[in-house]
Amino acid sequence: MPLQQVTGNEIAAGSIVASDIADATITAAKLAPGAAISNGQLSVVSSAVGVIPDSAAGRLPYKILGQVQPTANVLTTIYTVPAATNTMVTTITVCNQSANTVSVNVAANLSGSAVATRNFIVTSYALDAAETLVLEPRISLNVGSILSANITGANASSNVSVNAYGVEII
Amino acid sequence: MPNIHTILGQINPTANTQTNVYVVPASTAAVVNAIHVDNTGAANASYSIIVVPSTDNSSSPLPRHFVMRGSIAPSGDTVILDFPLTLPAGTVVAANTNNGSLAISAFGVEIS
Repeated sequence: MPLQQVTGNEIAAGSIVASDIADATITAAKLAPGAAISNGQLSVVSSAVGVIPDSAAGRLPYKILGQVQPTANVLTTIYTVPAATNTMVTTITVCNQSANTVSVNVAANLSGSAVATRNFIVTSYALDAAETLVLEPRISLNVGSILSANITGANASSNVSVNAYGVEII
Repeated sequence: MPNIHTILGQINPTANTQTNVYVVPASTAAVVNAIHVDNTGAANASYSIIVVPSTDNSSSPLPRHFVMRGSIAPSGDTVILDFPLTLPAGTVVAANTNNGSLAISAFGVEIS
Protein backbone atom coordinates (compact mmCIF):
# COMPACT_ATOMS: atom_id res chain seq x y z
CA MET A 1 0.00 0.00 0.00
CA PRO A 2 1.54 3.37 -0.99
CA LEU A 3 2.10 6.05 1.62
CA GLN A 4 -0.63 8.63 1.85
CA GLN A 5 -0.65 12.15 3.18
CA VAL A 6 -2.65 12.39 6.38
CA THR A 7 -4.46 15.63 6.98
CA GLY A 8 -5.74 17.25 10.13
CA ASN A 9 -9.26 16.39 9.06
CA GLU A 10 -8.50 12.74 9.13
CA ILE A 11 -7.01 12.96 12.61
CA ALA A 12 -9.62 15.02 14.39
CA ALA A 13 -12.50 15.87 12.11
CA GLY A 14 -10.95 19.16 11.12
CA SER A 15 -11.32 20.74 14.53
CA ILE A 16 -7.75 20.55 15.66
CA VAL A 17 -5.83 23.80 15.87
CA ALA A 18 -2.30 24.73 16.70
CA SER A 19 -3.20 25.82 20.20
CA ASP A 20 -4.44 22.34 20.97
CA ILE A 21 -1.00 20.99 20.29
CA ALA A 22 1.21 23.65 21.85
CA ASP A 23 0.10 26.56 23.96
CA ALA A 24 1.49 29.57 22.16
CA THR A 25 1.14 31.63 25.29
CA ILE A 26 3.14 29.30 27.46
CA THR A 27 5.30 31.03 30.04
CA ALA A 28 8.08 29.95 32.23
CA ALA A 29 5.76 29.97 35.22
CA LYS A 30 3.56 27.37 33.53
CA LEU A 31 6.48 24.97 33.35
CA ALA A 32 8.12 25.48 36.69
CA PRO A 33 8.94 28.36 38.98
CA GLY A 34 12.03 30.04 37.72
CA ALA A 35 11.95 28.20 34.40
CA ALA A 36 12.94 29.76 31.09
CA ILE A 37 11.75 28.51 27.71
CA SER A 38 13.25 28.95 24.29
CA ASN A 39 10.64 29.98 21.68
CA GLY A 40 8.11 27.24 22.22
CA GLN A 41 10.48 24.44 21.55
CA LEU A 42 11.13 21.63 23.94
CA SER A 43 14.35 22.91 25.44
CA VAL A 44 13.85 24.14 28.96
CA VAL A 45 16.38 25.64 31.29
CA SER A 46 15.25 25.84 34.86
CA SER A 47 16.70 26.09 38.27
CA ALA A 48 13.78 23.91 39.34
CA VAL A 49 15.20 20.91 37.50
CA GLY A 50 16.99 18.71 40.02
CA VAL A 51 20.49 17.43 39.47
CA ILE A 52 22.10 14.55 41.31
CA PRO A 53 25.49 15.80 42.44
CA ASP A 54 28.36 13.71 41.19
CA SER A 55 30.16 13.74 44.50
CA ALA A 56 31.89 10.77 46.06
CA ALA A 57 29.25 10.68 48.77
CA GLY A 58 26.50 10.63 46.17
CA ARG A 59 28.13 7.98 43.98
CA LEU A 60 29.34 5.65 46.72
CA PRO A 61 26.75 5.71 49.50
CA TYR A 62 27.52 2.20 50.75
CA LYS A 63 28.49 2.43 54.39
CA ILE A 64 29.35 0.75 57.62
CA LEU A 65 26.69 2.66 59.50
CA GLY A 66 27.86 1.80 62.96
CA GLN A 67 29.95 -0.60 65.03
CA VAL A 68 29.38 -0.61 68.78
CA GLN A 69 30.07 -2.73 71.82
CA PRO A 70 27.17 -1.78 74.09
CA THR A 71 27.51 -1.77 77.85
CA ALA A 72 25.31 -4.50 79.32
CA ASN A 73 21.78 -3.34 80.13
CA VAL A 74 22.35 0.08 78.56
CA LEU A 75 20.42 1.05 75.45
CA THR A 76 23.18 2.19 73.13
CA THR A 77 22.96 4.07 69.84
CA ILE A 78 24.31 2.12 66.88
CA TYR A 79 23.58 4.77 64.28
CA THR A 80 21.88 8.14 63.86
CA VAL A 81 20.83 9.28 60.39
CA PRO A 82 22.83 12.42 59.49
CA ALA A 83 21.32 15.73 58.38
CA ALA A 84 19.86 15.88 54.85
CA THR A 85 20.05 12.11 54.54
CA ASN A 86 17.76 9.10 54.35
CA THR A 87 19.15 5.66 55.06
CA MET A 88 18.33 2.09 54.14
CA VAL A 89 19.68 -0.35 56.73
CA THR A 90 20.38 -3.60 54.90
CA THR A 91 22.11 -5.69 57.56
CA ILE A 92 22.58 -5.78 61.31
CA THR A 93 24.91 -8.33 62.93
CA VAL A 94 25.00 -9.06 66.66
CA CYS A 95 28.02 -11.17 67.62
CA ASN A 96 28.02 -12.73 71.08
CA GLN A 97 31.66 -12.91 72.14
CA SER A 98 30.82 -13.87 75.73
CA ALA A 99 30.67 -17.36 77.22
CA ASN A 100 26.94 -17.20 77.98
CA THR A 101 23.60 -16.76 76.29
CA VAL A 102 22.53 -13.12 76.19
CA SER A 103 19.27 -11.41 75.34
CA VAL A 104 19.27 -9.08 72.33
CA ASN A 105 17.02 -6.07 71.84
CA VAL A 106 17.12 -3.74 68.84
CA ALA A 107 15.02 -0.59 68.35
CA ALA A 108 14.45 2.03 65.67
CA ASN A 109 12.80 5.31 66.55
CA LEU A 110 12.20 8.74 65.09
CA SER A 111 14.27 11.77 65.96
CA GLY A 112 13.26 13.47 69.17
CA SER A 113 11.31 10.57 70.59
CA ALA A 114 12.26 8.33 73.47
CA VAL A 115 12.47 4.60 72.77
CA ALA A 116 9.15 3.01 73.68
CA THR A 117 7.81 -0.52 73.38
CA ARG A 118 6.45 0.19 69.91
CA ASN A 119 9.94 0.99 68.61
CA PHE A 120 11.48 -2.47 69.08
CA ILE A 121 12.16 -4.60 66.03
CA VAL A 122 13.83 -7.39 68.04
CA THR A 123 13.01 -8.12 71.68
CA SER A 124 14.62 -10.60 74.05
CA TYR A 125 16.19 -12.78 71.35
CA ALA A 126 18.26 -15.47 73.09
CA LEU A 127 21.69 -15.45 71.45
CA ASP A 128 23.99 -18.29 72.45
CA ALA A 129 27.70 -17.95 73.15
CA ALA A 130 29.88 -17.61 70.04
CA GLU A 131 26.78 -17.17 67.86
CA THR A 132 25.93 -14.26 65.57
CA LEU A 133 22.41 -12.99 64.99
CA VAL A 134 22.04 -11.63 61.45
CA LEU A 135 19.14 -9.34 60.64
CA GLU A 136 18.39 -8.19 57.12
CA PRO A 137 15.74 -5.66 58.11
CA ARG A 138 15.66 -3.33 55.07
CA ILE A 139 14.66 -0.54 57.40
CA SER A 140 14.22 2.89 55.84
CA LEU A 141 15.08 5.73 58.18
CA ASN A 142 14.64 9.46 57.77
CA VAL A 143 16.78 12.29 59.09
CA GLY A 144 17.64 11.99 62.77
CA SER A 145 16.16 8.54 63.24
CA ILE A 146 18.05 6.35 65.67
CA LEU A 147 18.99 2.69 65.60
CA SER A 148 19.91 1.32 69.02
CA ALA A 149 20.58 -1.93 70.84
CA ASN A 150 20.46 -3.26 74.37
CA ILE A 151 22.02 -6.50 75.61
CA THR A 152 20.09 -7.76 78.60
CA GLY A 153 19.20 -10.94 80.50
CA ALA A 154 20.65 -12.92 83.37
CA ASN A 155 24.05 -13.13 81.67
CA ALA A 156 24.03 -9.68 80.12
CA SER A 157 27.50 -8.94 78.91
CA SER A 158 29.36 -6.03 77.42
CA ASN A 159 31.28 -8.45 75.23
CA VAL A 160 28.82 -8.31 72.34
CA SER A 161 29.37 -6.39 69.10
CA VAL A 162 26.61 -4.85 67.04
CA ASN A 163 27.29 -3.77 63.44
CA ALA A 164 24.94 -2.03 61.03
CA TYR A 165 25.44 -1.78 57.27
CA GLY A 166 23.46 0.08 54.63
CA VAL A 167 23.06 2.85 52.12
CA GLU A 168 22.84 6.56 52.82
CA ILE A 169 20.76 8.52 50.31
CA ILE A 170 21.74 12.17 50.15
CA MET B 1 29.58 4.13 37.78
CA PRO B 2 30.44 0.60 36.70
CA ASN B 3 29.36 -2.33 38.85
CA ILE B 4 31.78 -5.25 38.73
CA HIS B 5 30.52 -8.56 40.05
CA THR B 6 33.58 -10.45 41.10
CA ILE B 7 35.43 -12.74 43.44
CA LEU B 8 36.59 -10.19 45.97
CA GLY B 9 39.08 -12.42 47.74
CA GLN B 10 40.07 -16.03 48.41
CA ILE B 11 42.43 -17.11 51.15
CA ASN B 12 43.69 -20.20 52.96
CA PRO B 13 44.79 -18.58 56.19
CA THR B 14 47.53 -19.92 58.41
CA ALA B 15 46.21 -21.09 61.78
CA ASN B 16 45.95 -18.37 64.40
CA THR B 17 47.06 -15.67 61.98
CA GLN B 18 44.69 -12.88 61.08
CA THR B 19 44.62 -12.63 57.29
CA ASN B 20 42.93 -10.16 54.97
CA VAL B 21 40.20 -11.63 52.81
CA TYR B 22 39.50 -8.36 50.99
CA VAL B 23 40.36 -4.68 51.15
CA VAL B 24 38.03 -2.23 49.39
CA PRO B 25 40.13 -0.28 46.83
CA ALA B 26 40.41 3.50 46.81
CA SER B 27 37.55 5.46 45.21
CA THR B 28 35.42 2.34 45.35
CA ALA B 29 32.57 0.99 47.43
CA ALA B 30 31.74 -2.68 47.69
CA VAL B 31 28.85 -4.88 48.64
CA VAL B 32 29.98 -8.27 49.89
CA ASN B 33 27.08 -10.57 49.12
CA ALA B 34 28.47 -13.84 50.38
CA ILE B 35 31.39 -15.23 52.33
CA HIS B 36 32.03 -18.96 52.01
CA VAL B 37 33.98 -20.76 54.74
CA ASP B 38 34.92 -24.22 53.50
CA ASN B 39 36.55 -26.54 56.00
CA THR B 40 38.66 -28.84 53.83
CA GLY B 41 40.14 -30.65 56.82
CA ALA B 42 39.22 -33.66 58.95
CA ALA B 43 38.66 -31.72 62.17
CA ASN B 44 36.20 -29.04 63.12
CA ALA B 45 37.62 -25.53 63.01
CA SER B 46 36.67 -22.27 64.66
CA TYR B 47 36.85 -19.04 62.76
CA SER B 48 36.26 -15.33 63.16
CA ILE B 49 35.38 -12.64 60.63
CA ILE B 50 36.14 -8.98 61.26
CA VAL B 51 35.23 -5.81 59.38
CA VAL B 52 37.45 -2.83 60.10
CA PRO B 53 36.83 0.60 58.56
CA SER B 54 39.73 2.61 57.19
CA THR B 55 39.55 4.90 60.21
CA ASP B 56 40.55 2.06 62.55
CA ASN B 57 43.65 -0.12 62.71
CA SER B 58 42.90 -3.50 61.16
CA SER B 59 46.00 -5.09 62.71
CA SER B 60 44.55 -4.48 66.17
CA PRO B 61 40.84 -5.20 65.80
CA LEU B 62 38.52 -4.23 68.63
CA PRO B 63 35.58 -6.32 69.85
CA ARG B 64 33.14 -4.08 67.98
CA HIS B 65 34.71 -5.09 64.66
CA PHE B 66 33.74 -8.76 64.96
CA VAL B 67 30.92 -10.03 62.78
CA MET B 68 31.63 -13.66 63.73
CA ARG B 69 33.86 -14.79 66.61
CA GLY B 70 34.66 -18.37 67.51
CA SER B 71 32.05 -19.81 65.18
CA ILE B 72 32.42 -23.44 64.15
CA ALA B 73 32.95 -24.76 60.63
CA PRO B 74 32.44 -28.55 60.84
CA SER B 75 34.95 -30.74 59.03
CA GLY B 76 34.04 -31.23 55.40
CA ASP B 77 31.31 -28.61 55.55
CA THR B 78 30.93 -25.16 54.07
CA VAL B 79 29.39 -22.32 56.02
CA ILE B 80 27.83 -19.69 53.76
CA LEU B 81 27.38 -16.23 55.19
CA ASP B 82 24.95 -14.71 52.71
CA PHE B 83 24.10 -11.39 54.27
CA PRO B 84 25.14 -8.18 52.48
CA LEU B 85 27.92 -6.01 53.88
CA THR B 86 28.00 -2.50 52.43
CA LEU B 87 31.55 -1.23 52.66
CA PRO B 88 33.25 2.08 51.83
CA ALA B 89 36.75 2.48 50.42
CA GLY B 90 39.57 1.21 52.59
CA THR B 91 37.50 -1.19 54.66
CA VAL B 92 39.28 -4.43 55.57
CA VAL B 93 37.51 -7.78 55.76
CA ALA B 94 39.76 -10.27 57.54
CA ALA B 95 39.55 -13.75 59.03
CA ASN B 96 41.23 -15.83 61.67
CA THR B 97 41.00 -19.54 62.44
CA ASN B 98 42.54 -22.13 64.73
CA ASN B 99 43.14 -24.48 61.81
CA GLY B 100 44.97 -24.13 58.51
CA SER B 101 42.37 -26.10 56.58
CA LEU B 102 39.87 -23.34 55.86
CA ALA B 103 39.26 -21.90 52.40
CA ILE B 104 37.54 -18.55 52.73
CA SER B 105 36.09 -16.73 49.73
CA ALA B 106 34.27 -13.42 49.48
CA PHE B 107 32.00 -12.61 46.54
CA GLY B 108 30.27 -9.37 45.71
CA VAL B 109 30.11 -6.15 43.73
CA GLU B 110 32.58 -3.30 43.42
CA ILE B 111 31.13 0.11 42.56
CA SER B 112 33.37 2.94 41.40
